[in-house]
Amino acid sequence: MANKKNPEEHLMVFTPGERHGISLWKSWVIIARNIIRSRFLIWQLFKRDYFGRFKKSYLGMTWIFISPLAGIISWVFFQQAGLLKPGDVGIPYPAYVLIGTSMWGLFMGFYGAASNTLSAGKGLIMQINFSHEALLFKQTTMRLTNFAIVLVMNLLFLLVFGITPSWKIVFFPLVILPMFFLGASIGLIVSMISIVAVDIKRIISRSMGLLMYATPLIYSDKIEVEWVKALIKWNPLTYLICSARDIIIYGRLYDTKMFFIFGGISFLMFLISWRLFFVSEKRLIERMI
Amino acid sequence: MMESTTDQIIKPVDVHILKKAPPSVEVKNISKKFCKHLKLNMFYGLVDLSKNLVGISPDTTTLRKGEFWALRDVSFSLRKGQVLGVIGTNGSGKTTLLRVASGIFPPDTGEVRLRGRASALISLGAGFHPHMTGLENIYINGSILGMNKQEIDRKLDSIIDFSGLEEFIDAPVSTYSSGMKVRLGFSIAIAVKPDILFLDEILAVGDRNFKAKCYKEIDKLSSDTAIVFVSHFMHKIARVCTDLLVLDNGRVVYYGDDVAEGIDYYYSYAVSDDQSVTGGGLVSIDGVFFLKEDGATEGNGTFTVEHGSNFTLCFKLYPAGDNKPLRLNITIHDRDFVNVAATDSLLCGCEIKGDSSPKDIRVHFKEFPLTPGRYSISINIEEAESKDTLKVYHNIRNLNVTGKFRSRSPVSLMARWEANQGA
Repeated sequence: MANKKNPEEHLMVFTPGERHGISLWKSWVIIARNIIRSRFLIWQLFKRDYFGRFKKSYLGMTWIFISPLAGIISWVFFQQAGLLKPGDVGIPYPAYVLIGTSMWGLFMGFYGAASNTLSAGKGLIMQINFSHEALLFKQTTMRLTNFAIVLVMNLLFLLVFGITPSWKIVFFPLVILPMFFLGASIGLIVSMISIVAVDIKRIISRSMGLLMYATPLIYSDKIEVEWVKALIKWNPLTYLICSARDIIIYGRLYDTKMFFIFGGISFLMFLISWRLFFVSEKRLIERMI
Repeated sequence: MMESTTDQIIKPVDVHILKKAPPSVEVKNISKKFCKHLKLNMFYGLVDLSKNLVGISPDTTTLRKGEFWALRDVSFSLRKGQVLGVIGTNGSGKTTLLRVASGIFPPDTGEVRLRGRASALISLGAGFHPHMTGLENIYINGSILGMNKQEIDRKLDSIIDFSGLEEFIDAPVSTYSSGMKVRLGFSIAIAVKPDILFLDEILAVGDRNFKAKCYKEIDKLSSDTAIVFVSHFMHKIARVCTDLLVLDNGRVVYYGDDVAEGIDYYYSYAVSDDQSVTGGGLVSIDGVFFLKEDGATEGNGTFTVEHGSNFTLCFKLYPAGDNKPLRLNITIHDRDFVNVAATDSLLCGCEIKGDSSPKDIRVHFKEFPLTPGRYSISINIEEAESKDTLKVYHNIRNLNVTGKFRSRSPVSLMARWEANQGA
């Protein structure tokens, strides 16, 4: 906050490439500091966008529960109708798919939140100078809130199927961190590209949707086709998303070694994309006019 | 009210200290370029982004194909206690300057230094959610402007009080008029108690009372705040600004503390002198000229006259010939088309018959009271009895008043002054 007695403490200097001269480490420190300072702003923006959308709705916040419920009903319907013969996954198939797809939803939520960081805040960005990091965290908080509701409903559904989640679910928030790093790093880059190349954003977003089929979420990984096996093996999402699912259902990671390898890579990607965002965002904003 | 006014009144010692302090806003040789073509703009953005990816800082000092300078070598500095007015025609770079100076856009050349907390009101209610109440939006907008919860809690009553929206504060902002949104936005922006305040011309929307209240508040704030104020309303600029910057095509064409001179300069190139005639009456005027005391005449375009001098406006009037007496009204207006003075043939006791013979009209002006500046003259012709307007000659001639009398008001009053020395 400002100190009226000594404005020199709040000297801000804007030059053409002032952020290029800042070291990698310092840029991350500045970003972290901006996020911490923007806590109240993030909360206010979250309240505005999350609750604001229900203001004109008769059902109001009931909508938060309707979508996950519709998901549950549809998978149960497929199961009851015998349309799905996925093989043995250790637990009832609808439960397996529900948890798996909700984890996919969470990953896409992280990606979507980041990829809309700049476009969702356009109205504000053009009018006031503030820490834009707040926009990513506002977006992510919205997606996490949606996911938390979905997860609670799905866990209740698991209990109905007689499946008790593992106690290791307490590690769940840590297990989804690499998903956040990977989703946010791709999303942040897409957020910047979307301003200068709309086509590339569309291509990447469509491709991201297809990746779900390269991840063993709606089918078992015990498959015979070699190229599909290879695809699953080299897909980092297999280890990150399936671990988030498995920690709840089976109380273990999908593949511990690969989880940590891809987790580390995701973290590095996150740091690099933040740095790129840090040095480029203002140059891109001026092209949003 | 916002807060006690007495503690904001600046004392002489404060002025001395403030003059020694470094400026709150220092803008040094900033330039900003944009691209005219949408796809080229996107392409350049992609190229610059790719350069950033490999750690290369893009060259911003030269123009690429399709680019132009929206701002070029703009410099100014501002201390607390100063209000800088920024004027210019549409597209001259005013809003871009505010965006660069407040840190929204990075400059392409030069440097901006801001000392202290900055607040900006560039658009009407930035961040307002239409379906949320005024109260909820105070918290949202306040947080965007950098206030925390405790600070907003503390200032909430004064914000609501100043906005005058007590009755509507629990209603959604979508039900507010644009004037009401400005009231709320302005009330929040000044509640920040900024060291630096950037104001775009949003105040144009509020109603008369609220505008007066805002300008009064700007006056109060200005003793402890550096204010940059963009407006198209010259009388507002003249009223609140201590300094003036005139932009034309992105370049500074005037920068100084003689606000009246700066506004005059702006008018010298920015305002159209288009003449026009409205009304379907058969009456007409021609042969307009000015006669000076020394007998010199000036016929076309702009007439230059000394403040306080005598002169005569002459023209020929051709009535319709229906024998209905006529009444002529001469209006002098400033370059914002605000009427500043008028004279009326009937009220001045001049009878003008409506027969078909042409009349030589002479209007003698004595000790012309308008202060130096540029004005224009319109002549309105109506039927004296029915008061029906027959014809209006808009901007029939321009007046350029010169002289030493410097004032931000259009009319000088020659009062008799007394000073009892040593009383």
